[in-house]
Amino acid sequence: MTSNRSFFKLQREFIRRNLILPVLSGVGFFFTLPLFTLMMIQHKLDYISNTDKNEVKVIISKLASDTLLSISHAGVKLGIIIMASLAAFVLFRYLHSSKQIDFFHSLPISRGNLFIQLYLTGFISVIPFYIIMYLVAVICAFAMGAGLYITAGLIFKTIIINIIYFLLFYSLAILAVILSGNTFISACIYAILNFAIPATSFMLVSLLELSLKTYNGSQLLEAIATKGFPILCYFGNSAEFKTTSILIGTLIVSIILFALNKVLFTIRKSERAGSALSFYKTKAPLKCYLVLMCGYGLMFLFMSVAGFSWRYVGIFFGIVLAHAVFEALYNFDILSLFKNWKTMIALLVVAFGFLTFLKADIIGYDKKIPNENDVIGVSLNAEYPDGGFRSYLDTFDYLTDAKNISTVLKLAQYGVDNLDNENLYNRTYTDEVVEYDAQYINIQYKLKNGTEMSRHYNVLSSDEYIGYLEDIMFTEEFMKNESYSIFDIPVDKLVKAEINVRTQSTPSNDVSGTIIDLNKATEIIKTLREESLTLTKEQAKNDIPVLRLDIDTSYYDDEYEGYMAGNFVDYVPVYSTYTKTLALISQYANVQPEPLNAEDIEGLEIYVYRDVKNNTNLDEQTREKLSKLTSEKDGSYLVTVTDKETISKIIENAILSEVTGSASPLFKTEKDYSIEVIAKYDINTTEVLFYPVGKYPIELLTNIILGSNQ
Amino acid sequence: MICSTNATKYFDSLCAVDHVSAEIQTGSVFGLIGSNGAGKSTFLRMLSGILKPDEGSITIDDEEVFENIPLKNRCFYISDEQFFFSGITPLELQKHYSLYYPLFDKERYKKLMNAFELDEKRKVRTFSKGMKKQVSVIMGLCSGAEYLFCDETFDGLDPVARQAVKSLFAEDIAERGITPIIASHNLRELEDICDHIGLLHRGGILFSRDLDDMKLGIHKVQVIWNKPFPESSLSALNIMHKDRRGSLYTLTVRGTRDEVQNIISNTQPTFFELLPLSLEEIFISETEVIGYDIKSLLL
Repeated sequence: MTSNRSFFKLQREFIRRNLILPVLSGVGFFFTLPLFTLMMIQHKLDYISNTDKNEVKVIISKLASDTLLSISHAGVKLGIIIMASLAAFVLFRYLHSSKQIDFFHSLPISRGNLFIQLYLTGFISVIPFYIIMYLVAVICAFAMGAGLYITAGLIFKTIIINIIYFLLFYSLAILAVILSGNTFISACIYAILNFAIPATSFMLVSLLELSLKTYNGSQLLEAIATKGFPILCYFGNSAEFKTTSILIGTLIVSIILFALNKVLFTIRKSERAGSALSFYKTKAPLKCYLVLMCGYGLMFLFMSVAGFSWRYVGIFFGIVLAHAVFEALYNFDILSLFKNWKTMIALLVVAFGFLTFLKADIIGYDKKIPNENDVIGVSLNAEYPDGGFRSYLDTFDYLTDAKNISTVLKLAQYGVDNLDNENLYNRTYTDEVVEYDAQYINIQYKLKNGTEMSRHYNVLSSDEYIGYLEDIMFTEEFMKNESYSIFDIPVDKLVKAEINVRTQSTPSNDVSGTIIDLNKATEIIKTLREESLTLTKEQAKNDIPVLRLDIDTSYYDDEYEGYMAGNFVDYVPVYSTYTKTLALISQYANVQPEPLNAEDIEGLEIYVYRDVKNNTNLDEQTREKLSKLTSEKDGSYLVTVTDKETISKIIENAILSEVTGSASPLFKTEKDYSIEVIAKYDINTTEVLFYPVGKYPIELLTNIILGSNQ
Repeated sequence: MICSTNATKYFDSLCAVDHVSAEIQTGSVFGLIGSNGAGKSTFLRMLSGILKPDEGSITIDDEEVFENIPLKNRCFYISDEQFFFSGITPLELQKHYSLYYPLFDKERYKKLMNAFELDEKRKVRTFSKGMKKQVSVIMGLCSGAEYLFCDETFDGLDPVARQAVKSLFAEDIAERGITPIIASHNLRELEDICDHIGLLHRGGILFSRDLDDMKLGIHKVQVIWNKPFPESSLSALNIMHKDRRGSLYTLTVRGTRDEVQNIISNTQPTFFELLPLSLEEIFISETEVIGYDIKSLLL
């Protein structure tokens, strides 16, 4: 049986004996590729029947190259996974039947050769049919006029990626079949092989988050979880999962699995048909791993349902139940539930012990702050207290300035000093920190030795905390690296940009002007960047932006090899001192700063709510009078003002919420929640008015309200 | 020659075959008999290279069988529970086996299929149990293999087919010098065809002998004395089993015919007759000696 002729004859015989595989492949890929391609293109053509012919060609070509014939086709991916799994189970399932094992293993063919024959049968029964159907789909696309962007590169790349992932899933499924002597258990092992790495990483991260106060995730565990999750890698829409390195990695893993499968297949004992696991030495480690996972899994379930204090009950029941189930499965005997009870007790000790060990933080993880000399960069996520829409401070790149590093380290020390405040970390699983004034800081360090370190702190809001934030916020380096800011737009890679401009008087459902020309928009963004760096702390604290910009961009991302559309940078402030930017906006959009204007407002609605009885800004007499009005009117009292002169007085210092959103978090507004002023522009447009701190016209408003009642 | 040296096989903690040593001469028909669970099938599966002994060795012509493909080309295993591919016909099965066995005799296959009146284009799954057995035997005989490992092969065959298979075996032994190793419960069947017997019991081999020698070495004696049972006079006799119905004693004894005859004659019995022992009786006697006495439960 060693000659090539015999090899191929035998190969043909194996395919003939398992005809179900090529038939299913052919039919399945026919439906998901040529037929689906024709249907979708036809559907698109019907949908855009009134569009220009050239435009139609572009649209359907994009549909074909971006979805139907690309690696993004989820139906094909699903088909590949199903066929890979099915092929493995159909061809290798004989290992689960002693009758079939006797037949195959009595034949004069070596186990190694038999494995290769079966392996190739699976490959040949699926992949050629996929390729043929894919090429038929390509022909269909061309025939329908959707072949503008179909290139040899696209065809090659798509086929290669699908073949590589087929090999991965096929090898994983074969491994699962070889490892067990029972098909149901093999299916379970297959699921475990697919999900073990991300599940373990996720469990480890969850346990660390639960036990350590400052644990802030781990890039390593995250990378292991995502890259070790074959289904996510295959289905992930992110270009990250389609990079050459990931594909080469997947191919290498497939080859390693192939070699491992061949060895295991060769040494697997024939008599293991019907047994739960074929290799008895894997029994204990597999059971221990799964029991611990189940124990901690049930712990999190109990915590989410009943609260933090139920964690130990969850572990106990999780371990006991899982151990019993695995013993019953291993022995195919329900009476074996409590067999090996000593192992169960050992696992309970390990589970509780590991949790206690983590909680004890013996290595001092929580209090660790790197030495300033070892840090070459810091990135920060923090929240400015009561800062409104722009209170979230985040950097998209590391800050490397020594002063900023020093300040962030001080902030970290402040976080460490707050570790002993149990109220900040006293939480249930479902509730976040109970302490009201708590602020959250995430700090990431880039160290000289090339590693990264990350910590999360809950701290009390204080002048010291705010001081550190303000020391960083107004540095040029922070401004240039602030996420969701004007600097977070890849200006040189833009392919599309749209800027919507609002003045202080523009209501939320309107814009005052729009710039869609890419060059003009780019010029404005660049000018605004320059002028944004001139913003001082005092200006941020006291000035209201005269314009607000909302910027929507699309750009080509080299790293992900794709277009990134719909990147919004909203609430970008333009202060009165940004004269060049204002001039450009005036020139390109014909919009000038315009204060809130009584003429634009149809009327004001002043609402007095029941809470007014607790309003300490009012004297007792006024409070009582207003409170009486609300109780007479079922909880709230409304006064409508339409007189333009009175409106002008009320809105003199008022700001629309749309404008306050773009102001610095240092700029504080005041709003009385028991007396609210709403500007009515028309029947559909109303806006709540805000006032700078100390400028809320409480006296004027109470006079109007009480006057209206006389 | 097939040689088993201390071949041992464990299934988890159960010792299915316990240090079995036996030799099977080429050209002989070896019958493997044994009680239920004795390890006959396991031993046969080790002989045919399906199972690897956990201890000891199984060799054919001084070569290990397991994973020895040239050697396995000379062996054919007919399982008690045969497996056939779904929807396969005998013709397709013949083509399948031809791929593995280069010496597969297609002409003989056709001849035998006709002789057994089996339709080679009919799906095997529609065949009766006996017909499936016939198909397997035909495949085995036509494969060109020198060693046929038959596990309960005669079970399910009708008397005519059984006789035909026996004839075919005899023919192949005579013409090609094949060595069939037949595991069976049906001792009467084996008695007709085997010239060598191995008796397995609870995983261990009790003996492996030539059938004629065995028959010559064990005898059934019916004897009547007009006095009490002469125990002391018979002490030289290896009595394996003693049964009494009235004054008639039935003894199963080990020894040569002359030896037994002399010892019993010296006790001056009223009636004495030396009867031939069937294989079944030998099996029962031998297993009873080591405590396998189900018969006593039934009587």
